[in-house]
Amino acid sequence: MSVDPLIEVKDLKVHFHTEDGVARAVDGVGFSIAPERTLGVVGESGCGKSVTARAVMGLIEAPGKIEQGEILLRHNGRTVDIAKLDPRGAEIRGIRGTEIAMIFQEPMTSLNPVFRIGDQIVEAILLHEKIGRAAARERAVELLAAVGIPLPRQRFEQFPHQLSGGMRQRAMIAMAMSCNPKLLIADEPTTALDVTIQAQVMDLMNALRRDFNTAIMFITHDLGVIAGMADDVVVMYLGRIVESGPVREIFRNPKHPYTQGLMGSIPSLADWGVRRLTAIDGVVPSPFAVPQGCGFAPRCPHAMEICRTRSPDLAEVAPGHAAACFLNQVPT
Amino acid sequence: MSDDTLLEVRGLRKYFPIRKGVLQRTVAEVKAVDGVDLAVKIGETVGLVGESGCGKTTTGRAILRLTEPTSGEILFRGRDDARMIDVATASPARLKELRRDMQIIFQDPYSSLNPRMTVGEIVAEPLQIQGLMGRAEREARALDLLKAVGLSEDHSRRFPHEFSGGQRQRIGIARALALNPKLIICDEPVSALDVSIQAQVINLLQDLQERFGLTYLFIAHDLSVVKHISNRVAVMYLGRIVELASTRELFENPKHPYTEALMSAVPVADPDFKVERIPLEGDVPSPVDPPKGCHFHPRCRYAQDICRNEVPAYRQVASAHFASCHRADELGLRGLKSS
Repeated sequence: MSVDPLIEVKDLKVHFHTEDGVARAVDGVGFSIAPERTLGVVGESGCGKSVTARAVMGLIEAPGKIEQGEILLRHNGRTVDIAKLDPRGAEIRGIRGTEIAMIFQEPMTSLNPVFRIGDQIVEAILLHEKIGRAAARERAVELLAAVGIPLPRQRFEQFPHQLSGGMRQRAMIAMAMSCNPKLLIADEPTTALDVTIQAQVMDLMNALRRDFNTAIMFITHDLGVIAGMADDVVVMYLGRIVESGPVREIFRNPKHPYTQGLMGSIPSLADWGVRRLTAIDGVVPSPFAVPQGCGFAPRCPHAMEICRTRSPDLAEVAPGHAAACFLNQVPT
Repeated sequence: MSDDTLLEVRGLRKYFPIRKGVLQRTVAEVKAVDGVDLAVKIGETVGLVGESGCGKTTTGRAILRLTEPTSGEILFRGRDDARMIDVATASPARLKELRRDMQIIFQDPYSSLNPRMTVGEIVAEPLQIQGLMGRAEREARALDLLKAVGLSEDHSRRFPHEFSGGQRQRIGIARALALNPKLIICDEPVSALDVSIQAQVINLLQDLQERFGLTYLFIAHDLSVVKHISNRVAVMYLGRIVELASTRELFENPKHPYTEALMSAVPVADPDFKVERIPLEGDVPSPVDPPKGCHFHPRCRYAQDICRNEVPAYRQVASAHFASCHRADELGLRGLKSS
């Protein structure tokens, strides 16, 4: 890629040390996001997509631990490794909000119920920028208007419970955008919303991305949302990336049996005549007992002998398109 | 009413009172279900789709009288096949008998299974309640049912917490099958499940339908799932069915502006599939105080004066195609093009 990436994650491992053992939530993940691009991260529950996002935000705390890897961010003209920063330290606090902001699935739990919407946004602005309260207030009202909240001055005075789910998510987005972050991490931001409201929020995020020139890391389990939002896609399974590439490549030409299985699992709105879905057999193994070899082998219809003993690395199958599967590579 | 009708709902209403003050006087009502007419034929799957708060779950529960309907008829073809019985007015004894033929699968596979019962007991409980079969027979039946839903015999002695979400949903399905019912109301049976597990459960429901000749009322918010599994689809908005047609007719030739907008909002898993999204402004109005005239008019881009003042009749607009829109005949709404 010609442009320098905004953020580059290299061989990241995040493990949770619990009484039941070690959960290998993220087990060797690497990707990069270029400025103004949207990376879609797709996978099912427990695949490690949210933990990856939290690691990028510097939010991993005990019992979680970043075991290895780098999360490189260009910040103030130099490169910072977020993985090495103290999650409570001053440096990560300077990055969060200003460089990287995050929105979550359930806006009700991320907004403080006892403070007015507007004041929460003002607080975020004052925390990061040296401007007066009145100016911050004006900025907050502008932001509420920018995210399509009608009557922003009235909404400013309201509490989170007075807003609908879609409006709350818009308010969360306004807060996240308040300091013009270079990267916005969106963790299932539309999953709790109805489909018509989801469409509004997706349109909003696409518009903001153009207006603010923000890169987005968009985490979802919904392939439809990925198709409508992402430029590039990584597919995660059991703490690892099994496939990555440009969105069109991933949908047109999926190379990993797990990606193929996901595609076959969703009923299509676009065509008729599919009577039976090609489901993936079995269930996701526990992160406490990750199988030897390829994590997907126990469920894979194409599993070979080698898949049960060795774990395949991501290897390029087409320009910019990589898959971690022995079917696509000659084992050495 | 034709002979192959299994269930016919007429004018079903369910209002929840809002009480206030010391005397707990009713100050308003939530009109969760506000006049639903729906017929389901033997062996078919009718999808009931709509956004949260539209009343689809309450409709399903009211049909089974898990919640008492405020008014309306729920005619169901009973055991003897001869005549339709009104579930809404059935005596407790009659209702218990009717429930042998109408069962439900719940959305949340975690809260709908008793954590203190073994899986075998859970699956056999409907038989026990109905006083059918002896203990040994019930146990044998439970094992058969577990196998029918893709679980194994040795699962029967375990407890629900030992199972994943998809497996729990299979247990719930086995329980619904225990009495050999005719109708199963599936209330969002796959929406709590991961994509790959969702596909397994959808396939299972289709296999069981074929094997046992089941009829489904399939309640869901996911249009793609509803399209895949249903023969006919009813779209609900704010307590009422606004459109009903065969699946293909509904998706290709919608007659209600809400259906059109809903379909255009669904994200399609194809980066080259470009639909022009029809924006729906604002949120669903409150069912306590629904808008005058057509409930949908404040969000409808085709609304005219008549829509603001008069409630549109739910009427036949094409062959076997019903919609409640004043302008159904003149609007050329956009459906999904078949490819």
